[in-house]
Amino acid sequence: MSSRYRSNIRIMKDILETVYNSEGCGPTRILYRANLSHDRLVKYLSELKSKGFLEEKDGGYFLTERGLRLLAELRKIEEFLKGMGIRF
Amino acid sequence: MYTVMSLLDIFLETLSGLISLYISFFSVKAYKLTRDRILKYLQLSFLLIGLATILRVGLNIMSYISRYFEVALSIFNLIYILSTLVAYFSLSYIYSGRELERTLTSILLIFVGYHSLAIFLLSYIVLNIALWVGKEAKIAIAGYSLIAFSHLLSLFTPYWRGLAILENFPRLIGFILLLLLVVRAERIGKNVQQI
Repeated sequence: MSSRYRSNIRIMKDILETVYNSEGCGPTRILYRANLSHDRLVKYLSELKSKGFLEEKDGGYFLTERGLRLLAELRKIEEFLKGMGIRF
Repeated sequence: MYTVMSLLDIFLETLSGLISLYISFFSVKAYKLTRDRILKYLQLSFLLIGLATILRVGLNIMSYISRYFEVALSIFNLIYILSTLVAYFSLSYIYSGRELERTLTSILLIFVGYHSLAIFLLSYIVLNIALWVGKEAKIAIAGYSLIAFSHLLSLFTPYWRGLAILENFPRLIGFILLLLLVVRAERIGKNVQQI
């Protein structure tokens, strides 16, 4: 768990948070805000889409109801891990 | 008087065990959602502490009923020690930053006694949090410190039996502080859903 390590939790949360704050956005914006390489972004976006957390409309990504719930859960988990003093 | 103290001892230990299981349950839910290895180790650690504590309390109660359970209890005490050590070791792995530190903690696991090793591992966790995270995690620092303090008290139980009951207080408060972190996180989650 070195300082460079960024967990799945943080990456997923960064992606969902970006989409949530922009009320739908394109992959380039997510790529910059979530600070990911193109390959990893594609992997995460397709996973989140296949699980029904994100939906693609007119070239942009939007949060689904499930995605919103996942974001809430990820914020809980982030708060818990931060409180526990775990670097993730 | 002795029975009252024993009941109090059982009550405090049960509460600590239940809180530990609740933290583990929270981590299991989080792990199922994210499949993150940190949460895997976290759920394992608190599950081991919780289960071992509850089972020991159960056997302790049963030993009042039948002498057969006294034998089972003395055997289980060894399992309890091993389980909590594995749990603390797994926790220190989460907080550890480097491979070398991990190796050193593994070597120490072999050579040192239960309580002193538990104190070492918990102090190591506290130190890591204090150095790398700081004030943001002061509740976790206080929680782990109190659990470590309860092990410190345990070191002196051979000299004064009353400490066997007293040691459960800091332990319980330590677990309550860790529980607070779960409760606080749950509350934040609720606020998000209202947005």
